[in-house]
Amino acid sequence: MDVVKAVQNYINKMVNEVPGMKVLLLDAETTPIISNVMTQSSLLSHETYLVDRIDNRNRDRMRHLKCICFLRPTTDSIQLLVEELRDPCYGDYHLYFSNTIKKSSIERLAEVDEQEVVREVQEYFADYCAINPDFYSLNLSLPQHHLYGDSKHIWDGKALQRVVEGVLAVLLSLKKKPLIRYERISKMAEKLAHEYQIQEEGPLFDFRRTDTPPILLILDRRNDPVTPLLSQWTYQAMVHELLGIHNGRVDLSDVPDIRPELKEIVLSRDQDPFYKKNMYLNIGDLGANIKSYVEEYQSKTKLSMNIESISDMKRFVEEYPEFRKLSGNVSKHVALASELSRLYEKENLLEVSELEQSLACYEQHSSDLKSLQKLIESPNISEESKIRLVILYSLRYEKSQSNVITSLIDQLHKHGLIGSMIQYSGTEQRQDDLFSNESIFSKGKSAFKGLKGVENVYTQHSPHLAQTLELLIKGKLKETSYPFVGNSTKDRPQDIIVFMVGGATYEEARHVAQINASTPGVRIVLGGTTVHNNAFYRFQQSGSPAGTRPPKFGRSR
Amino acid sequence: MMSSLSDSNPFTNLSASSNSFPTNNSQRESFDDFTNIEQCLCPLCNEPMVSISQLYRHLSDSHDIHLDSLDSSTDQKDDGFIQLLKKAQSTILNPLSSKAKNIAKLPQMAINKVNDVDSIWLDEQSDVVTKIHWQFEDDNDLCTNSTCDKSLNLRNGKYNCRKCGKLFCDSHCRLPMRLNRQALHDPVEGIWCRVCDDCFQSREGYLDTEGVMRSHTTTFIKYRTKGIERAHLEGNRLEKRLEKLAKVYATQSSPENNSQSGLKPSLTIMHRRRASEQSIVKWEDDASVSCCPLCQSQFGKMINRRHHCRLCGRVVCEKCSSFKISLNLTNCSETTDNDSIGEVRACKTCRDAVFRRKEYNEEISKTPPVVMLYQKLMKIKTAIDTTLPKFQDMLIMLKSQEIVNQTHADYQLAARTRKELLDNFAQFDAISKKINSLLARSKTEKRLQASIHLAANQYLQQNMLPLQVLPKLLKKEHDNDYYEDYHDSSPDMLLSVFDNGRTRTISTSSTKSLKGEETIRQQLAVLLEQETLVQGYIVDATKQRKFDDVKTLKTALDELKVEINKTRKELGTTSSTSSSSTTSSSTSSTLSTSSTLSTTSTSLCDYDFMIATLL
Repeated sequence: MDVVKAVQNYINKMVNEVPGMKVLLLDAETTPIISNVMTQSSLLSHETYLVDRIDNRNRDRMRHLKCICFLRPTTDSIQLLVEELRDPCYGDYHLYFSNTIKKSSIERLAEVDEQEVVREVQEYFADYCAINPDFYSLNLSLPQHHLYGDSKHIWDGKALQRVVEGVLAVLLSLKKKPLIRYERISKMAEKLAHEYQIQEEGPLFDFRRTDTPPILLILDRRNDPVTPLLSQWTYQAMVHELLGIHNGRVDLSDVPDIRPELKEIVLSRDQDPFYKKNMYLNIGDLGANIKSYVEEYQSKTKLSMNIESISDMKRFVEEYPEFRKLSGNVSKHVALASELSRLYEKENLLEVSELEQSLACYEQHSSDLKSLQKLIESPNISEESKIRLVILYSLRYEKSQSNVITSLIDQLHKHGLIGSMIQYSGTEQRQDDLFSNESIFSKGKSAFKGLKGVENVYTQHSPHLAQTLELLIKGKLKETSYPFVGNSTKDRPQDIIVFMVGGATYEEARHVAQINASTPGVRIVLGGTTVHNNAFYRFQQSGSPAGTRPPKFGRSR
Repeated sequence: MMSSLSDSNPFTNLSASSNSFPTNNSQRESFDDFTNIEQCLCPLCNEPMVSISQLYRHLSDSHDIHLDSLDSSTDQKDDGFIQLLKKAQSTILNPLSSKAKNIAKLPQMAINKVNDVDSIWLDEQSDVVTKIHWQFEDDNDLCTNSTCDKSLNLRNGKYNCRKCGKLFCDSHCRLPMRLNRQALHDPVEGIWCRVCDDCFQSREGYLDTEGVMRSHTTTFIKYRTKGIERAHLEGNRLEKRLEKLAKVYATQSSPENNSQSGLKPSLTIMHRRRASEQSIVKWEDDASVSCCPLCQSQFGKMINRRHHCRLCGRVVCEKCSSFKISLNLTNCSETTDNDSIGEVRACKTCRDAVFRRKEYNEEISKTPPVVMLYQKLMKIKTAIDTTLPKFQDMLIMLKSQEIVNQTHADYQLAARTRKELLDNFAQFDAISKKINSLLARSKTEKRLQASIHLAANQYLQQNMLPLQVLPKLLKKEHDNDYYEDYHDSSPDMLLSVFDNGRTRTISTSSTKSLKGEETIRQQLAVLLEQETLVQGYIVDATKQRKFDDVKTLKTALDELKVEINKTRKELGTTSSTSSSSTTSSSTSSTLSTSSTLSTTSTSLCDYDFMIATLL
């Protein structure tokens, strides 16, 4: 159950099976799939010397190259491939499709292949972006993809198709034939769940029996609108929140005084052991680790400063390449971390985050309101943070008698967003008592929760998903709120695949990684239609009509 | 059978003793009455019962009568009472019995309190699974898990993995897995048992990373052969037509060429030709086509005129039929250039149908220089890939047997292999450079060549750099003393130690002049190598504006230069002495091997330079 390995395995298989000089031909959707898990050098080491897009019509003819096509079998890609095969640029063609291909498409392709260049036609189900070993995304984000149809409860037809195919590919690449559970209140989750039940039949899903059937849990973002709204404090989540991680790359070109080689950096678990070690740590621990990393580097520099003998010299020369790799990595992380802390300081996020956490975790209306009023009046807080706080406030105290949501909204002159947020994910839309404030019992529970020792004021909130998964692992998730589709089981699940309609977050990914590490025998993979950071999340919720520009990934500076 | 049973229904007895029931008292009251009964008798053996529940149990234990079957056999009208009883039983007894169970479990719970409830649930059921393979318990058992060496006792727990039978502590043997009676994995029928981590993960397919793949190649080929046959037929037909056209042209043009050489063919000839062309393929009627079937452009009287493809007879526009196929008599589609006797107009589709396959084959048969070089490159690579592990084995062997004598056969073999490898690397590098410098016809080609070069460099970097460390291993003997010293000495000490080391080598060199000269030569070679390397790094570091590095590197370079000069001087003095001395055959052989070592190590330096620029 490692999605990164699963995708890598597919791609290695593609480039390994064909010997000789190769060109890899991709389309718009398979490019991010590959770039998330493969590096240029690993492709090069498999004799894949060129990578090109199939929609680039100005490719040179190079008949001595073999061509590996890795495409999503969409009508566009098939059409482009038909044109390509009619007038082939390369010698041999090995066609790999990231999902099931229609018979009619095969027929069409076969018809135009008059020169008999196609050697192979395969379906390899690498149809999703694997971000972490236990975290994947379908990259269905605005403005290219609209998730919702006419209302926020109905799928857009195309999006549904893509999601069904995407999650199907996840299941096939992991070889799982799961039982399906979904969030009862969500119409979209229900629809999706029923789609799978139909799709799961057939010879493709003929797997070895497992001790207990795996579970596909389909959740809806609207049941936990809070998590994507909070400021993040762990490394991976923070970078995505403030700068945006896009297919493993971070754009730092807007950072003041950035060195040219750091304008765009790559964050890859495989290539960068420091990142792998620290991606889930909070900023405090991260700071300490970066400090020691720098010290390690400095001590190495010092050692190389002290060249006093030939053997020293020799050693230095031998170690130099490694040393330089280290220095590159150190400067990358230092630049990244200092930019993060600069942004946090600039936007006073410590203060904001404290209130966010309090709003997310505790029921204390009067004091919350007081600090909220204070922050709204403060000129040092960005408009976006204010809106976020008011949204959080309205989500928590929506049903409270004494709330002042309307006056707060008036204060911000941003009526639409907050209203649509409540409409999307107000109490009426949620099935679980997210804030533990809907009944006297849960109120007591939340008071009790408050008594527990908290390590860090800024990371108190734990996403609703963590709780849901815990119940599921213990076999205590209620069937009334999370019903099965088709067969059901009372066994405790060992393999769980979660799909979040409306997008997951890095914070949730971190919690899943934690659960995986701390519960032997249980493996969880989380995924969503997209990976949120809150700028993007709010953009999606505001339901902006097609044509308006999305915010830049990351916050404006 | 059933009816006879219902006659002796135990509840007739009961209802008789609880008189109040048939009367129209409220249900609640009758229920109270009933539960208040102090004593009742078993209707079959008249044994006194304390409670109704005991009666139930007694009935099912001693007389094998189950209430369920009784229920179904009794009539509906006096059923109400029994229903009530059942309800009462389930409400009162069930919580009690489950509580009783819990109480029984309490001590165990206390022990396992730190654990999940899982393990209890697991222990309960695994009795059926065989225990013959279990490891015998001992007083001082340790957990079998390699990462844990806890002693097994009451606190850490002591469990046999139900599958492999080995003993583990609690935390390393608590994963649930289904086993059959033979303690083998059985995902369908098996019973949940606790197993160790290894058994859990070694289940078939558990750590599988290979996803589903589905091949459509055969379907594709099936469809394709169908189409290809059609295309072949079509191609052949067109070729035949082309041949006919050529014949027609030949017969018509040859007399004409003789009579009116150089002049335009007269109108009558044009006419005749057209007639014969039309005899080969029927021309489409002009009036029936309003726009070009290929590019959909509208035809006009003057601007976009209609043309006929001479091969298929369709009406097409000028643009789409601008492909003139040259005709020749021999075989019109084999060659394109020799003795053409005229051209015919053909549309794009027909031209492609006739020529596409031929062109493709031509292009395939031409091997561009890149491919030739690349094949060579790959040949060398496979050679390296086969020798490299052998060489590694040799080194390990040499090291383990501590062969340091340079005349030893194994040592020499290793040196030879190393030389061979280095030669191969040199060739590999040369070819990759050649590929990179090839004249590229297009940008993509340039990109391809650069990529091959880059990949080759990556390969060298991975496989040759470790090799660079190896000569040190081979000559480890005489480096050894100060190499190890300096690791744990302070910088102050370092210099002196180093000086000692060098003076020692120098002193030995003066006594054994030949060997001494050799060592110094080697030293010089190494130094020169370092010098070029460091210079390379400096250039690089300046490029990247890493001035700290540059500073360090520069001081290093200066020191190196001083050292080189010193060694050169020494060499000058020693060489004069060495020239006079006689050389024995054995030492000369040593010299040759070690000099190959030193030359190869100098040749190494330029790869390093190249690699350094790469990084």
